[in-house]
Amino acid sequence: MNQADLHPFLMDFFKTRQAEILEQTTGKLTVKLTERLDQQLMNRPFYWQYVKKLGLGGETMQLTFLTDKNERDQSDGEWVHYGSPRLEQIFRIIQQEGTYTTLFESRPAADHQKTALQPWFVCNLRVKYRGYRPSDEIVSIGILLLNGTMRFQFMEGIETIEFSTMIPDYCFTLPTIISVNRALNRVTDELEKRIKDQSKEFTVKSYAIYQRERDMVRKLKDHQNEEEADHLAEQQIYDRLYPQVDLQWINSGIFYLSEETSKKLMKT
Amino acid sequence: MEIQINNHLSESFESMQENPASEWKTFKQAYDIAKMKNRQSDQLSSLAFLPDLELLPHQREAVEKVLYDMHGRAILADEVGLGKTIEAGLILKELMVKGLVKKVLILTPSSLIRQWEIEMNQKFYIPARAKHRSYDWSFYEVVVSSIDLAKKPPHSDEILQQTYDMLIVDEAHRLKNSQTRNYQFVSQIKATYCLLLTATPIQNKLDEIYNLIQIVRPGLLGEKKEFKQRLKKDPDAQEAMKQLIQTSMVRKLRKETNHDWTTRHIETIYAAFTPEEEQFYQSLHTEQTDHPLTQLTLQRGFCSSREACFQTLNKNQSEEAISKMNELKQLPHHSKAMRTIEFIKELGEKCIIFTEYKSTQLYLQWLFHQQGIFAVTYNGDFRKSKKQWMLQLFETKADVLITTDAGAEGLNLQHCRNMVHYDLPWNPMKLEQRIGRIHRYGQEQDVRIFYMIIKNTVDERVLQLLYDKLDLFEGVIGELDQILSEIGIHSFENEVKEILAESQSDQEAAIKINNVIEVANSYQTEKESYHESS
Repeated sequence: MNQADLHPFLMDFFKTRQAEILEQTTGKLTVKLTERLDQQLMNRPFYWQYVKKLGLGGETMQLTFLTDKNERDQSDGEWVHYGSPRLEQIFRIIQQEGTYTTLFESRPAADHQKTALQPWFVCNLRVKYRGYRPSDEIVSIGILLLNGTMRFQFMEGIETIEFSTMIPDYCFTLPTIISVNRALNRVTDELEKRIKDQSKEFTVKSYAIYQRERDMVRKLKDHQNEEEADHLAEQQIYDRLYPQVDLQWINSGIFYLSEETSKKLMKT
Repeated sequence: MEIQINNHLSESFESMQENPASEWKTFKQAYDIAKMKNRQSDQLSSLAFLPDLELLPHQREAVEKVLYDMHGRAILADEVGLGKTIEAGLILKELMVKGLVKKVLILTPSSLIRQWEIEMNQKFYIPARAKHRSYDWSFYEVVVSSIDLAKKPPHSDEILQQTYDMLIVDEAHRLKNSQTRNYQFVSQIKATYCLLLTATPIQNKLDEIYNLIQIVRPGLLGEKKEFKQRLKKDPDAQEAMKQLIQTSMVRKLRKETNHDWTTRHIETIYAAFTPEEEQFYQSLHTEQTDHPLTQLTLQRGFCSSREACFQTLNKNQSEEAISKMNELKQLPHHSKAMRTIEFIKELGEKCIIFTEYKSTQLYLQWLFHQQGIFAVTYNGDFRKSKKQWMLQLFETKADVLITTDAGAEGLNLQHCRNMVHYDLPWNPMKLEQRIGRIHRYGQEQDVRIFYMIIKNTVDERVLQLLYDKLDLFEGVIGELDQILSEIGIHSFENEVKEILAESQSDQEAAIKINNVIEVANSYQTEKESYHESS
């Protein structure tokens, strides 16, 4: 995300959440928060508790965000950039709200044909490698709950498709054959297999370093009897260097796609 | 050999499904944010989060080395003023951005707590907080505390129960002695990643570094007795050990960086004793003492102030000492102090004054006050809040800061560019530490260093014998500590003291000191040519 993208991003964020836009010029945005946004962003739980107790409405706050270097020097407001605490806070809200979903592919309203929608289970995951060089990999896997067909980079495949939270008219959903829990197992089995195949070199390198460091400590232990301290040392060496991956959720959901879209996804 | 996979996805899946169904746009954004934050493993992803951070090439190099070659445990030992805190902050930020570090303990001298807190928050957006007495240690994610507080029960017990992802110790030369409580406490803290920061990894003996390495990478240098013996017996082993140490230590000297440092101007300001003072000074020569060192200490004290000399005499309750003390009381204001006042008035700019004696510090402050100059003092005995208040006053209101060496460790005073050495330290490393307070990363003006010297005294002898010979301008003394330790001189200050006390004449002292410097220099050249040829 570039600095120039931040202004439209913030506009969109606040508009979507019904905040009132008071002023907006290039690189400067003033909004009046909704009660919910105030509670999420302003960190003043006591105020809201007090207001509720007295049965008052409460006054939400106004915020001004500056995203342009020129504005930063001239105007009062928060300077927002990639990495700034405010933006991180907004990212967290989005990630929290976007944890789970059930969505239906939108169909043109004019199309009165009855359409069956196929259930896909989508897992978006972070694969965290620990070892001689820590790194992250983001994976998106979709599994068709009718027959277990899997597709990687699923999100990239459906990026341009429109979805809604309501089932469109004249559409119906096909019942799932595979349960979501079983699907999750299949997805992770496949993912684990791929990780093992891909990370052979990483594993060997990391293990060699891990072993070297551990042996240093063990050799020392032969001389001394500082059991406690050496146990500590081995744990930190293990945590840092032993080749391992942590699988973490980004988000997941059930996506109902038309047969046409499903077929396209399976081909590419 | 297979990679270990930690998969707890299905455990958290159920609670995840309880969330309300998200809009498509939000869902997509959440995924895109995750992707955006994920960069290649060989790049510093945190830099994208810190557009305002100006990073010098040597700092970047150090950060990359610690992260990629040393796997997050290292000693950061850059010379003073090169920005070790920035390096540590960036390493921490990077590990936090990568999600490897959440819980952090930062131990510093109490005078630097606030500085760390501010820098971590403002420069790196790391929510570091100083330890407050109302909250337990377990409450904090990133906490800054003084080591003196942390090592005391009940704090120490509570800290040892925590598992930290990262431990940072600033001014880590305080840990060099493995017998101390500082050391034993720190070595018991559970932490996956660890950074020790010090400008002087070796102050006296090479085996001091053994103890620091033992925290960072236990076992690297083998068992302690063996390490010591090998160093003694085998000169080649030293080189091998150093290579080994370098795999866990980053050390840059000022001259090795490409940064365009502002210039240092050094000037000597002379004062002369009044006849009465001169007479008293000479009488210290004839003082009957058990040891020539005592004479020297008294003379040195008297070159600073009557009060400093008085304090030394006071320790020795002999009749003669008492009569000397009475003589002292009769003397007028100290010539050097008067000269200093005059000089400060001429200077007309903010200035830091370093002295070796707390009694001189008080005397100077009193005298400045009489003259209408606003001076604040600073030393290691002050409480945290007083220290901060003094620094604040110096930055905003006061003209002069009078400080001792113990107090000024680690401070960033680059808003000032003048420094007066009211007493010259007898160890050039100390001088370098002092100058580093103002001549550091962030200083935009040339810095001006002044030596206050009384003619025909031990002051002048030290200046001529020591300082005129050492090439301070180049900053070559950065490595002096290590060189001296390698050639078997454990305390430079004591060495100088002994030479001065035991030499019959100035020439003899000059020759002896020359020898020491000569040996150090030739050792250095030899080493450099060795490195070039290899």
